[in-house]
Amino acid sequence: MNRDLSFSIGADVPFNRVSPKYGLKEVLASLTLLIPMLIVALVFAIIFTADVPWLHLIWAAILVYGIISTIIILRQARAIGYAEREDDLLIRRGIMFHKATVVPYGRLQFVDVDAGPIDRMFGLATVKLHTASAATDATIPGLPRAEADRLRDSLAGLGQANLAGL
Amino acid sequence: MSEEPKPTEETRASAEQTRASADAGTGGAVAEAAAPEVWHRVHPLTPILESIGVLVGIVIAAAYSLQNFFQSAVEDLANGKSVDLTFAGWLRTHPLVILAVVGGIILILLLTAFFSWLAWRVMGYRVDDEAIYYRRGLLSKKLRKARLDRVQSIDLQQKLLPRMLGMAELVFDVAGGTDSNISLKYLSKKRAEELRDELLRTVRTKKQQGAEAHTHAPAPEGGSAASAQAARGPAAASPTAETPGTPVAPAAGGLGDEPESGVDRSVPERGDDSLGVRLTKRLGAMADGVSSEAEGSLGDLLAPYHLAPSIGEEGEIIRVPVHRVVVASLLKTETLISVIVVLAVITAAIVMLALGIKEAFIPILVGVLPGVFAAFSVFRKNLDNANFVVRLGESGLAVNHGLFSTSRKVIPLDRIQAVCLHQPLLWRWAGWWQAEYNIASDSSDKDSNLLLPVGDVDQALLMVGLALPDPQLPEGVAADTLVRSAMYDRKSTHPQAADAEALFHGQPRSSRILDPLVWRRRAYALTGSLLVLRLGALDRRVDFVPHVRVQSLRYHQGPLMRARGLGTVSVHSTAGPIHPTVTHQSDEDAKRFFIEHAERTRIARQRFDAAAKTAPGGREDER
Repeated sequence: MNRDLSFSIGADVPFNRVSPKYGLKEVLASLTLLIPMLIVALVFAIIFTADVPWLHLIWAAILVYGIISTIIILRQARAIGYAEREDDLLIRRGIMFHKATVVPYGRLQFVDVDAGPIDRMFGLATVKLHTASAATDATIPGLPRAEADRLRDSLAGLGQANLAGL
Repeated sequence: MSEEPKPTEETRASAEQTRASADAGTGGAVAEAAAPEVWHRVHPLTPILESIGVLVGIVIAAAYSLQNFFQSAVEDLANGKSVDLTFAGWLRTHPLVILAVVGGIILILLLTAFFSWLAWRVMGYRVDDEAIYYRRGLLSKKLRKARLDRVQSIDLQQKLLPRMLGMAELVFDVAGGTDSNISLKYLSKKRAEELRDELLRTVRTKKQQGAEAHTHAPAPEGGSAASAQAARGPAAASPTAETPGTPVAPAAGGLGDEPESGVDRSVPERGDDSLGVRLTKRLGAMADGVSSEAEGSLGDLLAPYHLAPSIGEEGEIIRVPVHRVVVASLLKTETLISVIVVLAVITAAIVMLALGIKEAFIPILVGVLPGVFAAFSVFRKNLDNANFVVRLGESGLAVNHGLFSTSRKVIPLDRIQAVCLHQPLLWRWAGWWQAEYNIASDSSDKDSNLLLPVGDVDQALLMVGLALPDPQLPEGVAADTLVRSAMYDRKSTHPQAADAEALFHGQPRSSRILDPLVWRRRAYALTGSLLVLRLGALDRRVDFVPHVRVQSLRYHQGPLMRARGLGTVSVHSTAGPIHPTVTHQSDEDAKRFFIEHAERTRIARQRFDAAAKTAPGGREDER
């Protein structure tokens, strides 16, 4: 269960994982939509079971989709990794689609820490790095609140120290 | 109309001043009215010119209804009926109606004239030591203020109608956000030019004083009071974090805070500055932009490109004639496609007519009209780049362009983040190229990113060379060979082309399923200071990204790419037309490039910043 699911990017650094609660949180977030759908489909299928028996297919499909997406989400959550290297921050994610982003500290414009309602239930937060480029998509989701604050302060300090012009 | 101005000039003026300062909430604080304020009037035709759209609309509406009447009359005649004159007959029996209508029209005209006159009396501008103010508005008053030390550029703009009447507007580009421009309209062209030159001089001295005060250097003699003011300026103007979250780098929030027009001369010349910036700094160091000297240093800096640029009158280095812009915009792929579509539809309509289906003919033709108009408006927008003239001045590269309406701007060389060359398919026979750039700014106008609308290879090389740093190539390969090799791929006939080609890393053969057309052409090359990307099989394209300008990198691999053992790396630049991407390299190469390029760009950036700090006279706290 602790197998490293990530791909190797070629940099020889230890990657930090995000909080294990992040996977649960994502599953919960997706279930808030799926479960009502499942219930509605089930109710309809039971009411009309005599007339249109194939309605049972719908809730079955929703159920299968829910199970598969739960597995995928859990695996994806474990594949997210970030490494604070000496001069830049490296983020990698994805199992099917491998993605890695490197942001030099000197390029940081500002750092956001977001925590939505479900995030707060789990004590999590998302750290988002902004550079002058809109294309930079450097987001580390699912950090424990304390770690997120530490990362933000550390990044802010490193950014200040390595500050580069445009 | 209780606020109507009082009859005598002086009292009226002062009354308005107080009112203006009372309304200052809209335009920022106004300097205290201790010194006598002189408000200058704009040209009296301004209100009429501004409402010209409404007048044209009325005329068109009138013409349309008249045309309707005539059309039905002609149809009636053709059908052998007598013209329907019942309305005219009714009018003849009621002469008072005609009188009322004519009187109404005259009354409206008079009222318009009166209100235009009132509006004109309120419009005005004022210049003092600190700022330029512009006020307008009869009922809702507006007062806008632009601090002179924050003015980035002053553009002279002439739209078609004002131009026919010999008038111009001055557009003040002020740092900070969109819609912070002041557009002073309209002035007679002569007055506008005088005012622009005068203000440009003031702005320049203000900025220099500001920079000097910033470096704690002794203020220049002759104006200690002014320089004290200027010293306050940058302090107040020093960029503040305007973004949410944790501001990491207030000083690096240079978006829109760096001097936009011209080049910051307080930082000495650096190796990784773009050649244009270095050139401007050199020109600034010279006593006066002597043309022969300027030509010398231009040729000197552009030596790696093997160009012999000549500097024409007033530092003119490039002029794009009208006919070339016209032909080039007709040959653009988009134009071509829309022309083909329109022709196809018209042919279809004619064929249907020939087959006897008459009902569809008119609706189809009417349906085509919007397409024609759209194509025409694109074409007109391209025409805006006619007479594209680039001048080498002491503040950088100044560009004049426009056919019916001329506008001026300054290419902010020191803020260019990436450059691309582009050749639509049909430009090949003419050998033309277009050059565009990315810039560090959030308010990016769509079409203001042109470095060169259309030009031959030498002009393209010149502009790209000026916008990029010295490529720092290995011995034996000249910069122009490399760029030509990137432009024409293996078809480059240059003698050293083989050496240059060796610098390019092409895509592996396994990528040919994903990129059947372009896999042979796409390639990247690394020089000491640049990443060069060769892209596009039909529409050729070459992207250049200086190492010092790279923001961040991203590696990406989807399942299909993994099956072929490929990986893609995007290089993040600022907003603009260029999105540099090293596509579909072999997985290992892509990962190596990702890690190594991150290191490379970081080191380049450190060297670049260190050069600014250690050099004598450099600003210590800069960046």
